Amino acid sequence: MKFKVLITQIILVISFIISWQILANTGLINSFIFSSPTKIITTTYDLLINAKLIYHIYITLNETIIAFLLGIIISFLVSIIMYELRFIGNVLEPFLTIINSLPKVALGPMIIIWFGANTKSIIVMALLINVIVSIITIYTSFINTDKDYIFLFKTFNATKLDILTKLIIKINYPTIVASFKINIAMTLIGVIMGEFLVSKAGLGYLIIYGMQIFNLNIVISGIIILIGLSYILYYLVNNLNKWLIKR
Amino acid sequence: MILTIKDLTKQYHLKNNDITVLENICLTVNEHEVIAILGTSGCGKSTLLSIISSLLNYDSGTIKYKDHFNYGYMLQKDMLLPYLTVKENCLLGLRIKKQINEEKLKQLDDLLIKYHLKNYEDSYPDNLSGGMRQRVALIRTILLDPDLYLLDEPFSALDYQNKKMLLNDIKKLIDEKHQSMIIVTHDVNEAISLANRIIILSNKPAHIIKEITLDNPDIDYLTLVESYIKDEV
Repeated sequence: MKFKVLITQIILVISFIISWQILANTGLINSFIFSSPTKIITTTYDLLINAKLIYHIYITLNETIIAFLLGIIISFLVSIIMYELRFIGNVLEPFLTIINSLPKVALGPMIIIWFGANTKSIIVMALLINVIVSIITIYTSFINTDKDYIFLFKTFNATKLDILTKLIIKINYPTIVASFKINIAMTLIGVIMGEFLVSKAGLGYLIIYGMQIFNLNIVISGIIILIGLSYILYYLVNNLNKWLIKR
Repeated sequence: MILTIKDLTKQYHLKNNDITVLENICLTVNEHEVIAILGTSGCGKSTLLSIISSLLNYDSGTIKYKDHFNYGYMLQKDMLLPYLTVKENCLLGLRIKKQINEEKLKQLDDLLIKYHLKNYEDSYPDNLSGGMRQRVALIRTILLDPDLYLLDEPFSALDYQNKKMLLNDIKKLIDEKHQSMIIVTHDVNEAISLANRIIILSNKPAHIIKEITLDNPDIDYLTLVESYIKDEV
């Protein structure tokens, strides 16, 4: 079954690429607008040699990793504060829900004015997107911890710190780790969005640049490289999760 | 004397009105005594245990404890932590109370052997049967060496045989160590087979309607207790 699915998927991708190339070669689609697989390969090669493609990937990757790690730390700490100081938790909860439903890109102009047209703005943008979702996920799991466990701990005269470190964090560990997976996807969305708005380098910049000079080959190459990058990041975080859960 | 409760009243203060849960409860628990508290579900039996264990405050009355009073609480469910091994689950209470020492580790070893869990000490609770899990919870409580066991409808998730076996184990243990126990239950047979004294609580607001000391083998306590409970239902 698994093998059959894989084979079908490969055939699907290959036939898509072949038909795309045929349609472009025969002129049934305009390859200036829709590009073609061979054009994308040559453009990518060209970018690699002349346009510092590796450097652009490095910039995007760098911003993503910083925002990802900062996002994990901030959301974990805020969740703990909201849980321990329940008053603050209750006050903040509806605001988080409201901010979460807001399309964060709308805050872009404000962020640029506050933080400047630089990497800082991109990371803030990514944080806005990944932190809110992670806090909601982690905080919700904290407050839904089975009350009987907390009762049991109290029968042992456990302190608040005991309950937090020996129960709340440990029993919700799988949820905390699972939030990394959501976090990495969200971070990449934020970084690309930020790069669209302010950057001088990165894959988001490359795609916008391609659009500005009306070179769709660059745009599509950028998107394909981005797909590869996001898959690799997701794969790494997913394996990190599995490794962390086993411990 | 382990503890004495005098005129204890507990209310829950809600937005619009106050609900009295326990009213004028008077109760003395002596050394080496098993008390069963019977009452309909939701009458406030568990609330009483929470108050005795100081996890819930009360509105009026007094509770006096013996010096260095130490209790062990067993909930309806085993509440084993899924991320700790059997051994670590057994040691949880001691670890939090910072009371682990060589002697306790030796006692743990003996208990694991006694309850046929030695081969599972490094397993996780997920791999154990319901009865085994409850025995782990029991060891966790025994290791605290309490003056008073507080059992809130214990082992209610278990089948009859397993439940009876565990309750007998506890009874034997208490006899050996001259400890005391309060067991909250709605099972009259269970109460009679375990207790020296039975306290029957009324419906909300719960007060003690009858206290029966089981010291005369000629009396049919089952019929006696049931007659009081029937009145209440």
